[in-house]
Amino acid sequence: MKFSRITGSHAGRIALAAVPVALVSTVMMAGVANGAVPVSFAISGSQFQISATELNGTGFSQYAGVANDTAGAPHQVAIANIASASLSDLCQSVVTETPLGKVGLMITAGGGGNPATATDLQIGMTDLKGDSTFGNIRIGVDASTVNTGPKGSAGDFAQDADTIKIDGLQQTAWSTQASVFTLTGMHVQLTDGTTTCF
Amino acid sequence: MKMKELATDVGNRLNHATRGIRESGFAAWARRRPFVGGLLTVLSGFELFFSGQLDIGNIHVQVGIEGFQATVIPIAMVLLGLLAVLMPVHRIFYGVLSLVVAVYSLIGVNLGGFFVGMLLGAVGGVLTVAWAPKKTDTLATESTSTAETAAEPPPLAQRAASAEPAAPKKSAKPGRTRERVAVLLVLCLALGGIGAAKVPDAAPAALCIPIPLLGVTCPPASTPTPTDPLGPILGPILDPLLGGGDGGPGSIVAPLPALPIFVPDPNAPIMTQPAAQLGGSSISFSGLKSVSFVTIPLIDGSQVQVIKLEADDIVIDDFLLDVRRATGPSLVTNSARMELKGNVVVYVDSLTATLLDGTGISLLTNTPPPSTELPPQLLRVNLGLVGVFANSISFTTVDQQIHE
Repeated sequence: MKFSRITGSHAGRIALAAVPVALVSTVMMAGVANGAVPVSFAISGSQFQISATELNGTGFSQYAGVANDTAGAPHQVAIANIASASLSDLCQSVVTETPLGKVGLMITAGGGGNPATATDLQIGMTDLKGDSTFGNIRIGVDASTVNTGPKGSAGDFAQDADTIKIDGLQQTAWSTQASVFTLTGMHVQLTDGTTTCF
Repeated sequence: MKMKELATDVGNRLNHATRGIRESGFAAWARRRPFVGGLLTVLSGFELFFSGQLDIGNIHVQVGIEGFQATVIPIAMVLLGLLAVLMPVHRIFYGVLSLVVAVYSLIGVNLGGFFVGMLLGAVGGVLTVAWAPKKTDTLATESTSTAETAAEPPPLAQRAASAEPAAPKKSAKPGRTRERVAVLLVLCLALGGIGAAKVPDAAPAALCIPIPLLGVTCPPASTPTPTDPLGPILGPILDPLLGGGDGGPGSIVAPLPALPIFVPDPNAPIMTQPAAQLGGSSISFSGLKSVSFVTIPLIDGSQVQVIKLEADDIVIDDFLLDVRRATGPSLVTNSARMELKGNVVVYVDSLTATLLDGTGISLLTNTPPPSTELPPQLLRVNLGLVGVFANSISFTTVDQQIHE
């Protein structure tokens, strides 16, 4: 009787559909922000920055590649794959020129000794800084024979390693994707484009 | 019962006829379906797609689920929106599915296209689910819900009342405003939800993002250009067939007299040509085990002649590695110090350096090996680096850059 009265009116049906959706998305967002629910990312098309005080990973490879920006222009990048990575004090920032001025987005996570983790991370980078250590490394192997799932094209110079550790990582990239990204302590900030990771 | 059906049928036809005169074709068409909801759902799909479509040209063959998700979820949203508009009878099914997909996009595609696509999809889905045919003209297609409400006289009576030809236009107006109120309500709810999840600034921003984001990321030129996916696959296969690869497995040139003898290295992985250029202000070896001349395989099956150095540890100061081809960009790695530790194997096609006493030394594949042994330390070293393998390598203050 009561239920059918709710479904009988337009506003009632809206509430009936909207309230659970709002609840579920709230719970989900809380889970994402606490690192309980992993998210997946696939971004490319504009240059952005990634920084972390420490990156630890396994299953690393790097080779040449091309990333296209939003205008379709190709950009030469070095594609870095990390099968499993943990990033302390992760920061990711992007600045977009819009008709209304610059808009920046900055995501931080993994602070306070609780690093963010990513699996099947793939970054198309143009610039990387930091102190790095590679375990069981092979430099100069053919890009089609690297030890990671994604591979480059035959004849390209590549390197791969079982483990990777980078302190004070700062990199500029055109694309990133990760199938599972756990963002512990996530903080999303909209900026006016002046605040970036480094 | 049959009489009732007949009556509604007649009512339908009457309604169609009167509306056809009073309203333009499109407005009438849109009114008979969850048009706004479907449209928002379609828009949400586009926003999700352009929020981060990955396209690493012809190099990367997409594997794994990540790229798949970022493509399938937007496509699903577009299809659900279109289908809800085209087949209003199934609006609940499509609407609920688009709600589920929209909420899932939060974790599936770039935080729901940075919230914008997820909000569009949620509002669109809610409107689609909530939409109902206002006039009796669609009652015929809604036999099940009529049967449900038939048990309840008041709503049926209302519907019957609104079925009168004069009524439709009047009842349409409050419906519109109610719809707007509902959209606002949903927006507030959803934004409130996100705000509650401690995402600062998302609420005010989400209201202003959609236009710039869509404006910026959706120009027609931004459509990812499909590149020839067969190139990297067919290249290595076709090249030898077409005679492009200079030298098949059988074409290993027998070493000329007086030159070093090259033996195949069974442990060498497949490497590439041309060699990268490695420079350093000094290089020091500890536990240098051997300097030998070997051939190593390339991906096209051919073999190249290289010099193989084996040592326990190697340290290079002011390290520079330049990886480039005949044309195109180069990847330059600089580091103050590069330390290779444990079972270091280096393959080079040339080595030039200065000894500590200032005399030059060079190791090339086409000249006989030097009579003296390699000293433990060399200055101003330049290598044509084919490959380096070690248990571990550490770089101090590394700076890696692409030079186009």
